[in-house]
Amino acid sequence: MLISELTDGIRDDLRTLARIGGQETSEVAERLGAALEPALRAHYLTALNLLIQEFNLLDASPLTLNLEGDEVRLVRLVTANAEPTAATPSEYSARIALRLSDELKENIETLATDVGASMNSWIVRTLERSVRDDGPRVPGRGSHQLRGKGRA
Amino acid sequence: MGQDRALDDRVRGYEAGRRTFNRKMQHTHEKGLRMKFEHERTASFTSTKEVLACVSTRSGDVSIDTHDDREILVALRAHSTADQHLLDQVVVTFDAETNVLRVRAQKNDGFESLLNIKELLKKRTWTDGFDGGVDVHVTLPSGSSVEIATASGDSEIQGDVVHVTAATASGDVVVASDVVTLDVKSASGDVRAHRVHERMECQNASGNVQCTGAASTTVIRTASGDVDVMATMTGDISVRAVSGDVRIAVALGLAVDVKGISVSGEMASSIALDAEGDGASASETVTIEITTVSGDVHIDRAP
Repeated sequence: MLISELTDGIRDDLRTLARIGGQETSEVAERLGAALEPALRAHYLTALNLLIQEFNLLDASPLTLNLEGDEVRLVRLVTANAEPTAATPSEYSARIALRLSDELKENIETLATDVGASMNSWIVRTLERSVRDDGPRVPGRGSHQLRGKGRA
Repeated sequence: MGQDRALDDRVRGYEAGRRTFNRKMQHTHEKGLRMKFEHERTASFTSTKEVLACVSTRSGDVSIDTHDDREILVALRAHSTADQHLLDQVVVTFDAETNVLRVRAQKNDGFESLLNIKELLKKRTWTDGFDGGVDVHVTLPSGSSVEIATASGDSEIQGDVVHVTAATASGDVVVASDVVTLDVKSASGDVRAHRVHERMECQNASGNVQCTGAASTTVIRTASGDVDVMATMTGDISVRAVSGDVRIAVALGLAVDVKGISVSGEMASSIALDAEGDGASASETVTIEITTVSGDVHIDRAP
């Protein structure tokens, strides 16, 4: 999608509304629209950013936003070795008792159903991913979250 | 490092210009002349305490300095002979009761504040009519504060200034000395600041933000500008950028708590981070929150 489609649409709406106020208001609106365009683009991209971050917290295959000039494209990252080799049932030998809220359990159940997995498989896969991603980050592409405590 | 050198060079150049300017001001003041140079107009006032200076220009640059005296010195310089007539249009007032100095480089042009955007947008372009420039140089008593508004003029603040507020369309803002608070709103101008102690807030679209001593509360919002901040004390640093790169350098020994998210930018830290850290309390930690869309994020130890 093109960012200019959104900003042009807003400027058109502004022009239409400004006609109510007469010629002078129209001229002001025209200049206001031009001046606001960079801010509109920034807010639009920020909104997309927040939306994608929220989505990525819930989905196994993260989305990224590619910007090429005026064009914005959403891309789903599918890395060949992103998922660990599925463990065979015989490897699921360890057990823990997990206490969690009813609400969280329902959310996990919904997410697992969405991707066609059992709750156990979904939780194991999520834990494996968390363990794999833990620890100090090193420079490199593909690290889209940087969290933790340390000392300089 | 290149940016640091550029800032140092600029500060040195500014200081040299300031010394020359102060010599001229002193000479002018001693002789009691109102017009010392062909393209210059001066004024002086006596304050009873620290001053709030409100300065607005279009393309003219603004430079602020301080001295250990209650005297306020204002020098206006036209860019050229053709602009000389603009010197008489500049309004310079000082309210001795409130100790507020006002320097308005264009008479009734509605540009005392960028908040008056309607008047500004009535002009054909941002620079329409802005070509006639008058630079403003003000020397204030130590401990004073400034509020600056320019369209394209650069602003440079030096000396013992407490609070700095600046709004500009495309002018750069350079704060070459320590201040308590710094609030800058800019469209495309760069912001370069030395150490800010209590609160720093920068909002800009495409200008870069550089600060060699982040405040205890630092908030930076930018679209495409790069952010380069050094954390030298505990506090909260919040940076939100779209395509601009963000680099936070943390002084040796400071504990950090980092929360960074980017959609497609590279994120890296040369400081080892884990879930627990070394147990430093929140009051001993600098909290760093960064959000970008495509900008890269780097957390490093300060050199």
